[in-house]
Amino acid sequence: MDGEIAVSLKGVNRSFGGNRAVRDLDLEIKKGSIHGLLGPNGSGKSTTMKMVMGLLKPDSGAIDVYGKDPRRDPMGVKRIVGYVPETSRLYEYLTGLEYLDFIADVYGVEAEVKEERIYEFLEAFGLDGRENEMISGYSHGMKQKTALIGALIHRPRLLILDEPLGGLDPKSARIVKDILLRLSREGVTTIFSTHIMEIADALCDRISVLYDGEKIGEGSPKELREMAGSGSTLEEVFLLLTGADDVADIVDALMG
Amino acid sequence: MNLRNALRLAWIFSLSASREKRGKGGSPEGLARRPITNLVASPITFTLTAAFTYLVMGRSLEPITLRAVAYQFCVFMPAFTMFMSMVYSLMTEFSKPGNAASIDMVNWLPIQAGDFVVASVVTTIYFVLPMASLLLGFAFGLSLVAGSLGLWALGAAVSVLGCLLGALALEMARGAMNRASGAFSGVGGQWAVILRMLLSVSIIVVISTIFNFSMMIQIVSWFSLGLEAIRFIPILWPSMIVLELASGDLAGSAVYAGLSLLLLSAVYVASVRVRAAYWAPAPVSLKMKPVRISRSRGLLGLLGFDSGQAAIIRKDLRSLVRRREMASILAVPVMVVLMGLLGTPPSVLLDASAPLESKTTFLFQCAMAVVVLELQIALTAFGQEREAFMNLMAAPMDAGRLLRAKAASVLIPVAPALLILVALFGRVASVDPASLIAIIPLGFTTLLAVASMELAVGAKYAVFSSDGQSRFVTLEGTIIGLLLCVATVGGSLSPLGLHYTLGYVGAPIAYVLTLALAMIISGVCLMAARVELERLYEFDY
Repeated sequence: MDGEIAVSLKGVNRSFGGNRAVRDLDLEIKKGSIHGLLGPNGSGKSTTMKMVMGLLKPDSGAIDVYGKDPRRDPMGVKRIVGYVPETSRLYEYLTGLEYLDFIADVYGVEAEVKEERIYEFLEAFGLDGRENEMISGYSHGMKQKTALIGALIHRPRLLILDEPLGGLDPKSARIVKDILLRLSREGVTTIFSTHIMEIADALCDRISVLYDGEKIGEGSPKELREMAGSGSTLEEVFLLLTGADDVADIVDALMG
Repeated sequence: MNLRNALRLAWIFSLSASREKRGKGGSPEGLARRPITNLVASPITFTLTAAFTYLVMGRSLEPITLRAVAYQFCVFMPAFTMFMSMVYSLMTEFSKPGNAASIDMVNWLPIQAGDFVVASVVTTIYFVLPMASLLLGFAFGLSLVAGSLGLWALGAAVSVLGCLLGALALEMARGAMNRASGAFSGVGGQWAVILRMLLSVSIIVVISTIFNFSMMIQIVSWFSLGLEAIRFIPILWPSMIVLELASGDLAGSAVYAGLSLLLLSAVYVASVRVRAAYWAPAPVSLKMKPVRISRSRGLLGLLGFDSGQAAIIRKDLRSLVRRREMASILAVPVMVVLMGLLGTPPSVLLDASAPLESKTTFLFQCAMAVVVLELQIALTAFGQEREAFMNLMAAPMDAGRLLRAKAASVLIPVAPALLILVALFGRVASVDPASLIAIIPLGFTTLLAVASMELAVGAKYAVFSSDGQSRFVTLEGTIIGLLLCVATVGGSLSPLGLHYTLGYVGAPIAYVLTLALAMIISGVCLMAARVELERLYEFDY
């Protein structure tokens, strides 16, 4: 990590109708770092990620991705980004191999290296032997793995992963974690959202906590834990920041 | 069957279809998104059509002709409504993906097959209501002038039976399709995929033929059984109730009423049984023959497409032959050709001495089949991507490159159909080779104009969400697409039309003008499509 900024957001706002999904968001993400976005459902994590990669335009504010403005140069940004949305959206009538071949071609991966890369990833994620089956017959985890390979196939400089570990078995989750750490060492920046605090704790260099479209906390996992007092877990920090620390009362009320 | 459950489910289905969202972020809004709109639109449609027919058409026809037309309409109203409900279901209800339908909430709620079938049929009738009102209003206007309101009332009442039969027949087709696609699960190879598609198309064609009265009449006349034989065509029994009563045969009418109810019961029982046996389409897992990773762009590269565009074209062609929900796109043109073949037997078509007039209907229907095939592929080109469209939005693929790839995905499967059509013209209409060669660019530019127009409409009205009963294109978009397709073909070919009908322009000038006009329409529509496509980059999928 050389301290250079890979992604920055300054005063970014985005609304859908009357609903303000992201409010005055400022973020700076260093090159080669793994930056976690934490927040309850509807807190603006997915909207932020889509704006970074140019899928949604901000109403106001500035975004910079490796020196490029996603609004002015969306194709330039998309070329260097690998994206996995919160639910994998694959062409179910293609086989896994056909899908990855398709994605590689769309990203312009050279024919000479494409085959080798695809088979390397298929083997790493334990999908070898199943690559000629239609995706419609894949389990949720297999689909998620296929989407992840699709995001990695063109060797992106920035990975944007929305809940990337959902539905993965422990072995595959471990593989993804190891891949992210290795990519980080190679200088690839990762922004990812998750609800699983242990993963955020183990992987992230920095974490931003979003709530109702606003950033309400930021720091390294250690810094965040210290905010809530010594011995606190990241989950306790999260519940404290998002005002959901009264869960015990809610459960009591529900269970009578 | 629990009627209360069925009606509640019908309400949910109607809401789901009315509120279909184009994408994840969209929200149902406007009058067209409210189920009540259909109930309001139907009486308005009926009143306006009846008034127009009464004031304009009713007054311009001779009294004898008027009475004959009113009589025929009232008698065949049940058969027409049956056809309407079938066509509606075929065009709109088959685009639901199997994997989405298999995880529908309805599958894990305590709902019986009978409840589901009744709910589905009620929903179909509810959505056919505005179209049926058009027909009923037309017949009412004529009957009012002809003084045959009693006959109209009977025809209208029996039309409900026709609607029910049509909707139930398509329910049967849906169950059979679930069975057919499930049968190939786990089977390997390209042939399994092709057989699955052929079987799906055949099921739609066969069931649609059995319940299509004009096709049945053609078949009867083919076997020289005479018009009396229509009494033995079950789908015409509801019309026979009206016919017999109009000729004063009360007993005959009662017999046909009984037979019609028996037929309805039989089709209902069959639909429920098929639905119960093959409840939901199982997500099909086919193991394909191992493919080699594409190392070159091949023929597509020679045609000027880059690797990304070639990948999109290959994907779209696979989609056309692999997806169960694409079967209706292929079935409709097959049905159009089949209707043409039943109307003009091959013996007449292949007889060089037979007058050209006896073959024009068939040739027209074949040309229509090619246009219908293209219309459907182009109109659904973007919507059929469903949520996976996100893959293209996230990739470095700008609107211009994507549009070129999509236009090629439409024209590549249609081009062989055009060549077959030209060859057919040569054989059936004995057209000389030089004229046939001249037809090819004419046909191609017209198809390019239609493809461009429908890509623009398809981009504007695409439905990417696969929730509920969603289609690939909104109902509004389908209607606009159909109307603009007719306008595009008519507009493109208007110079030739002027030459042949009025002789205003010479043949060579008309030919060149037609080519030029089609190219101009294509250019304008492609620009419109690009604008619409760029808007999709801001869409929430």
